[in-house]
Amino acid sequence: MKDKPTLDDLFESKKLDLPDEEFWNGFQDRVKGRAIASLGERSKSARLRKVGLYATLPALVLTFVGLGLIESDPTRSSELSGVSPVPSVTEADTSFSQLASLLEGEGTYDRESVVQLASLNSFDSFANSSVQLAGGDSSFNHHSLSLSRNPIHSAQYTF
Amino acid sequence: MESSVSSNTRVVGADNSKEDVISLVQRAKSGDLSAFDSLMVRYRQRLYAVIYNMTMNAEDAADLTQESFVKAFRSLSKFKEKSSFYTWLYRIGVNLTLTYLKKRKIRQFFSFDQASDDGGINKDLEAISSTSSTSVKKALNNELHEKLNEALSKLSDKHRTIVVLFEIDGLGHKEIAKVMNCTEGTVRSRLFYAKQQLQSYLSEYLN
Repeated sequence: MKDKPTLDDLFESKKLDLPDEEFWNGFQDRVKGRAIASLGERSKSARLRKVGLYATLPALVLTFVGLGLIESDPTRSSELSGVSPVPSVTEADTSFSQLASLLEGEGTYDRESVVQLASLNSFDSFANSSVQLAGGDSSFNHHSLSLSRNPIHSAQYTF
Repeated sequence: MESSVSSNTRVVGADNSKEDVISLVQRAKSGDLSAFDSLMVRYRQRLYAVIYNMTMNAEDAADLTQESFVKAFRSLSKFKEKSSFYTWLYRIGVNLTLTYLKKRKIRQFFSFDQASDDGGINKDLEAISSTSSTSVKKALNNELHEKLNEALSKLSDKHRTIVVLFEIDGLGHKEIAKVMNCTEGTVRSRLFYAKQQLQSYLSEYLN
């Protein structure tokens, strides 16, 4: 009686069922290519995450700081309301001293003076009204100076 | 030596030098692609053979082996070196393949030449019986080989995996248990049952 193979013989034959060397060369190259690509993908995604983190936080901080500054800046709020810029305290002081020096030693002011004073660009408004009492020679001049509409820096003078 | 001897005196494990493998793994972990290349050369044939005999398809085996190495490369940082590298690599490969088989229903996918009738196989058997063991290998590479594939494909994926790891790759029960994440007892019982099934399916052609 002729012998038949055993199950072990069959398993032995399976061990021989392997690809040739050419297959492995291509295989090795493909795996290396994919491994390198996965490294690239990993570093790219990590870089994107970093950029996202490092860019978003400062942008948010800057946005909040900017908004805070806008709300607390009176110049900005007056600009937004359409009012002309208010002179700084130093400018107002200077303007006031110029006005004071002009007023000193002069009892009355005519329109020329008013015009002259009005040319001081740091004044917000300068009004002059002259009232003549009816039927008499008595008269008085009324000068009103307002430096600013801002309640902090405003002053009104009546002469 | 990373190889170990199981209870049935099978010499298992592919690592002839454990130090070499550890060194290669550590270098690969630090991004040395040539070290990973060396690890691939060392294990590619065995891993391919396991996957091929699990899927019964050369193209699928090539893709899955490739995928296993790429996944291993990506996950190298997670390898804690508590187990041997080949066990860890095998686990990746086997799990990928089992997932693939589940999805593709490999048992229906597998096909073989229906024209190879019993007469053809009997011719092989005659050739086997009348000649030396070298011609046994040659003859078995034909229809009989496919009969074995057919029988293997009738087993469940897990039973087939254990048979392949034990009979074709030569792993011991302990190593298979690590790869399959089950107990040694489960490995033994599944192996016993699977071989009984194979004997039954191939009884007509086997001694």
